[in-house]
Amino acid sequence: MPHSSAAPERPLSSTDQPGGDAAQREHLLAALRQCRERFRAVADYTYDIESWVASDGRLLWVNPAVERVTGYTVDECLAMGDYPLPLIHEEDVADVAGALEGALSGTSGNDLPFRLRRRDGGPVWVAMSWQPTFADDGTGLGYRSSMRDIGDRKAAEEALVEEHRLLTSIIAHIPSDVYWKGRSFRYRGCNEAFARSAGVEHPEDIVGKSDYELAWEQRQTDYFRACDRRVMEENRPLLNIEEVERQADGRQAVLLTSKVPLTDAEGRVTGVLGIDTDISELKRVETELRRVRAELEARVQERTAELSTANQRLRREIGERERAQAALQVSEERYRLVSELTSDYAYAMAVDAGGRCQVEWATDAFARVTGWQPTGLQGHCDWIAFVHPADRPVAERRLRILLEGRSTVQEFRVVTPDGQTRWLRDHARPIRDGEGGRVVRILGAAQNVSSERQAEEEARRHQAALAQVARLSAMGETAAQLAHEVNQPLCTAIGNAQTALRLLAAPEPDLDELRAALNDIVAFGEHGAAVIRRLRQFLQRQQPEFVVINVQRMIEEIAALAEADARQHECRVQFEVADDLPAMRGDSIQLQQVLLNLVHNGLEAMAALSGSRRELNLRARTEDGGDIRIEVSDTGTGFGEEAAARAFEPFYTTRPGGLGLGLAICRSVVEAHRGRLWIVPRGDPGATLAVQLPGLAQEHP
Amino acid sequence: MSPEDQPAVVYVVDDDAGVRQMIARMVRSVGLAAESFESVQAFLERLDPTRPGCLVLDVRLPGESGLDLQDHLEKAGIDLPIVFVTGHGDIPMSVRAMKGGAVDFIEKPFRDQDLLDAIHAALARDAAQRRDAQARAAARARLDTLTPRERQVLERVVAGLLNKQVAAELGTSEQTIKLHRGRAMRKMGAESLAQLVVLAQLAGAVEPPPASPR
Repeated sequence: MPHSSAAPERPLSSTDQPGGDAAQREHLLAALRQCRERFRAVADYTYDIESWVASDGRLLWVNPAVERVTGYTVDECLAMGDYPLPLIHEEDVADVAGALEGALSGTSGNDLPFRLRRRDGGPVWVAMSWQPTFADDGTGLGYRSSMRDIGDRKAAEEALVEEHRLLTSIIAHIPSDVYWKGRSFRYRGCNEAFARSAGVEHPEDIVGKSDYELAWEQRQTDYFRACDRRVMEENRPLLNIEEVERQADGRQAVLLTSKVPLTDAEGRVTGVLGIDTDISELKRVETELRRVRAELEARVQERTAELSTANQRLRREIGERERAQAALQVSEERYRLVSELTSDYAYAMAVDAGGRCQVEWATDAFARVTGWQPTGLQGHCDWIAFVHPADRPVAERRLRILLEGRSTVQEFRVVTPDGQTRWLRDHARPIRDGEGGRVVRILGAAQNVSSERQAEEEARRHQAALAQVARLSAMGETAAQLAHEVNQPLCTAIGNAQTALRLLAAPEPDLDELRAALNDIVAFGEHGAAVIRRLRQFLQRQQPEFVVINVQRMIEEIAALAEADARQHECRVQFEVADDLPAMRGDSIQLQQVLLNLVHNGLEAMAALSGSRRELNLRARTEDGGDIRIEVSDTGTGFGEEAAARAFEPFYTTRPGGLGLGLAICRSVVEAHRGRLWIVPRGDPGATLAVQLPGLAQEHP
Repeated sequence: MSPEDQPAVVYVVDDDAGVRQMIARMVRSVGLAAESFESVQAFLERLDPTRPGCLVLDVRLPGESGLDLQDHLEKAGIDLPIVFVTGHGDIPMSVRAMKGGAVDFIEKPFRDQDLLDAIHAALARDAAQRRDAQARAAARARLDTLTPRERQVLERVVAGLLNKQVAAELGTSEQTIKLHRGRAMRKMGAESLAQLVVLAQLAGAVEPPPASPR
């Protein structure tokens, strides 16, 4: 310290030690020097500006710190008459001057803050402390002061204040509730928002209160307390807890709460800070949003479903339409084919009041079949013109029937323009003009049966030859049958005759037995003779003779033979013959043979049955179309499936010893008469065979 | 009434009423009883198997044929001799009938004596069969009176063992065997060993020897 070391040793005052010896003085001086050095060391190097002002206000001493702080040197300060006022910031001079006046009058002060004005013009905050100084005798020596540079502190304070203001502002304006509590769970502060939530007027009103003193429900309060405790005990924040709370105003609010521990500089937990954000609105909006979205989705789904249903319906309708179109096409195609390709045609004729007919329309086949154009016939006064002359009576009769209002089926020939003959089978139906009105139209369909008819003609030509073959076959069949049929009565007669002889040989013949035996001989002899007679009758007939026959009589003639056969089979036979049977053209013997054959078959079929169940029926009646129908039914075993299918095959038989020609021959005979012979399908046990023969009325009215 | 005491009956089964009445009448004319049936079913319903007799049967009957009936009777254990009568005889059918045990096969029309001879033969066979059956039944009844020990002895004696051999086989003395044998013979009603053998066979106690050609 050059300043201190360079300080000259000089006596403070000659009067310090009056009357002391030199040595003592030396000692005292040394002590003084030492004291001064120490003082200087302290004063010169003290950080604060230290100064001593005399009672008259003159600066006695100031330490070098003044230059460091203000930029003014010690000497400059000493030169100032009114130190430290020139160094004081003009705004603070009045305050400081007041304080210093007090200091001169004996008061002291501490930490008076004011600004110094630095040499470079900048302000320096200092805090001044001052005390009056007194001599040992108590006289005032002025005052001493020290000014401490508090520029940094002041800046820090201002920054703190600024920060505090900012924080307060943030806390005040944040849209959340902010509050903080001490370790005792009592509030230390909150923002306006929280105060409102908590139901207190000002944030300051909450300080020192616990949650139990506020507007919360007990349950809520317990929960808050638990959270607070947890945060403080664990020294760990709880963030973003969503909770529903009843607010002071009674509103239920959804809050998003975060609580963080507050700690001091050492990290000790001093309290808890809470921030609640009311997300009720957010939640409401979110819920609303979700609802709207769900609704939207539902609508979309609904619409989608509707669309898909509509789609399906559309597809189905399209499918149906396509099918309908396809069906229509098929139907049209079919109709076209039918009308183009078949030999059948349909037609309609208009009938005028005079009973004359004109073709209205006819299908394509008409022209193909008849050779005439339907329009070409318009010119004819009567459609009958194209009918074969020989068949005109038939055609005219047909027309009469139609005009009487009845349907009819007729066959007749037409002559084509180029002279060919065609056979037609014509089905026609009259249409009346209302109920009971006159016939105004005729609808009909006709079939070209020429080839059928030609075949029939041919068949008829072959019939004689065929019948011959058939008869020969039948002879073989009949012979085999007769062998048995003749053998039985023969055997019976012979046996009875032998027995009769034996009875006669007895010493006392049993006459009753003898008579019975002889009667049987006669009966069975006759029976055998009848069989032979039948055979002869059959064999005698070589050529079929087609003559007009009385069907009723023809059946009556065979009744006796059928009954004889039935008796032999111990069977009942019944004839039901209608008395309105038309006459027919045919060979009576052949037909009788057929019927007897059918009867015999029926009787054979019932051979295995007990007597009471053996019943054979022969019925004859007139059919609607004028045909004669004769049915022979038995109660026998019936036809099996195979037998029914094959019954008419030659050489097919189910009877031991049968040749299997009976039904085949019967059918050929019936067909030679333009009739039919078939097995009537039925559920009952037994079989029914039907013969249908054309009545004479149909061919010749 | 024992079977022998009953008069024999001739059953006539034919679906032709004339034929069956004629045969019945013919049978009666020689003093035999006759019963006639129109069908196999009717016959089976009335048949009394204990009654001696025979059957005159049409081979071709509707429903169950004569040959079927033959099988049927055989299966039922009814040993009634059958005379077949047929309107249309054929060889395979007659062979089958004869194999089935028919007494005769007669073709219609027939001589009365032929049929009556066949019927008599059939009745004779029936009687013999019934006698055999009766003898078998009697022998079986006697056999049933034997004690198990006597039966053991009988079986061995009939098989040709000597008393000594039987005694060794059954572990007893020859004396004891003699005693059992004597009792068995008495009970069976046999006076000789040969008779005992026949009776034992009849009773089914031992297998009969292979049939000798007749």
